Amino acid sequence: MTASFTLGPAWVDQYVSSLVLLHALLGQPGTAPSSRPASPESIIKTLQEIALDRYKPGDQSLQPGGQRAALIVEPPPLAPSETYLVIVLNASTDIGDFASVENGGIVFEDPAWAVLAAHSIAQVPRKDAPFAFDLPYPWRRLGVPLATDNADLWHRLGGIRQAVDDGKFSMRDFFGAVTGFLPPPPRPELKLTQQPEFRLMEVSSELLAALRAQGVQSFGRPIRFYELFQHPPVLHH
Amino acid sequence: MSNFGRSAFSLPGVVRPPSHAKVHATLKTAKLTVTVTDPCGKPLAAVEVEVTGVAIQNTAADGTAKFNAVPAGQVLNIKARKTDYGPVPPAGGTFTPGETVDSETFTVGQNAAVTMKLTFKGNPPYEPSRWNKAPVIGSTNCYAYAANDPDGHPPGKPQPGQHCGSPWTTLSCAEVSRAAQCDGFIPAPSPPPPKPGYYPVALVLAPGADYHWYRLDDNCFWSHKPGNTDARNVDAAGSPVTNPETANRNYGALNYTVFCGYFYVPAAGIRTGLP
Repeated sequence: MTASFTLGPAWVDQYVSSLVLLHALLGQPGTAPSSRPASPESIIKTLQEIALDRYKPGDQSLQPGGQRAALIVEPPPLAPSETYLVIVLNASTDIGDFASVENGGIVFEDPAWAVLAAHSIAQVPRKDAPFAFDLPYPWRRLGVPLATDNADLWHRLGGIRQAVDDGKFSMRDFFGAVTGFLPPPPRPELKLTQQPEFRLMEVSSELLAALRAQGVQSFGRPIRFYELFQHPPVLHH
Repeated sequence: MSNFGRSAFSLPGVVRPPSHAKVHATLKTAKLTVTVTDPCGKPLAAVEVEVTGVAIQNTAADGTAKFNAVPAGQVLNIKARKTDYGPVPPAGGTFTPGETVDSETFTVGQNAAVTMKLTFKGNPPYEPSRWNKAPVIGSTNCYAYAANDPDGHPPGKPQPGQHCGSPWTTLSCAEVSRAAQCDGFIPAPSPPPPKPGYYPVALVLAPGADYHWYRLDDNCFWSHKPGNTDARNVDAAGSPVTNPETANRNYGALNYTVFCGYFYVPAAGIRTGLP
């Protein structure tokens, strides 16, 4: 793939910073991964390991003022007629199930959100948690970013970092429920799988702009319904 | 005996008073008002009402047809039918959708009132229990629901044009309509009049995000099944859907703001999804 993430070369630092956060969540604060990713393709395997709870944090200590300061919390501008890389998780959601168009999954423009979502997916709820549907998946996990709009989506990365620092991080504050995991395209006739799977996808700047604006969008061949973020539930006190 | 037919009294509404008993010793008639409604009870104008062998009238704007003198003391067949559905079948004949028949016996001098409800015989029943259970709920969407095609699908969402081998390719009214017509949907006027052997469905769009279908059931309400979720006959505000054009279609992230139009689906339904 020749396209790159919207963050451009900064995506590497963003990704590593998110792994530092992940290490803190996994009980190894102040550590960084032992190597930096060579390409967008190379992080898919790591995301998969995180989602399957097989990821082992490295023990390389952070340098003072290291990667955590590099977390970007503003959406990068989109260049007209450009093609960008995004990460897709094969998860269905409430709104994806509600749509008439076949589910495509959750789109992550920012690799940092993909890392944190993978970690969230790996946290299997108690087995007595309520089922969402009579479909063949075990129970609800969390994995779709919650945000009021695209700017809020990026700002919330700072909120996650703060919550982790304060020891108050709760996935429910930042992620909505997924209802299952989709079969690999183009095989919608297959049953929902139990396995979360990440992949890279290219998307035009125009479609990505529309996805940013609405949080949902249908595109591709065949056309699929994708979700970038989900509005947080309204809390009544 | 009947005083209708070829006599001077055959015109509806002309009944001689008893003082003219030299010609007819006794006038055995009753007054009859027939009110015709749709399945929801709304009065229907321009519906042909026939008291078999006596007279034919069209209902007025208030849905009524008044017969000032119908034979009393004998069984009368009263038929109500939409006048654009073709000729009235003979007595005992088969009635097509949009027609109904009633049999009544009136007493002399009675002011009778009969209400007749036209049924939409081509329309499917509202049966959420048939759709809202596994495996149907997870293998159908609004399109299969509009096509009344619940069974035999793999998990997922049948798409317009998929069954005919030419699925939709862009999210526009024209393209989704084309694909649905490829599967067998038939364009209908707006609003769609009842069509014997067919029922109306409606297509809407959430621009860039999704399409959605509604169908008119035999209870006169529109129902729909969003994606792999429950079939329902209420809109986004929880109100019964009596008109898909004016129903609340705003589901937040999915706001179906564009009304594309109506189609007819054969009463037997249309097969959707994988060929």
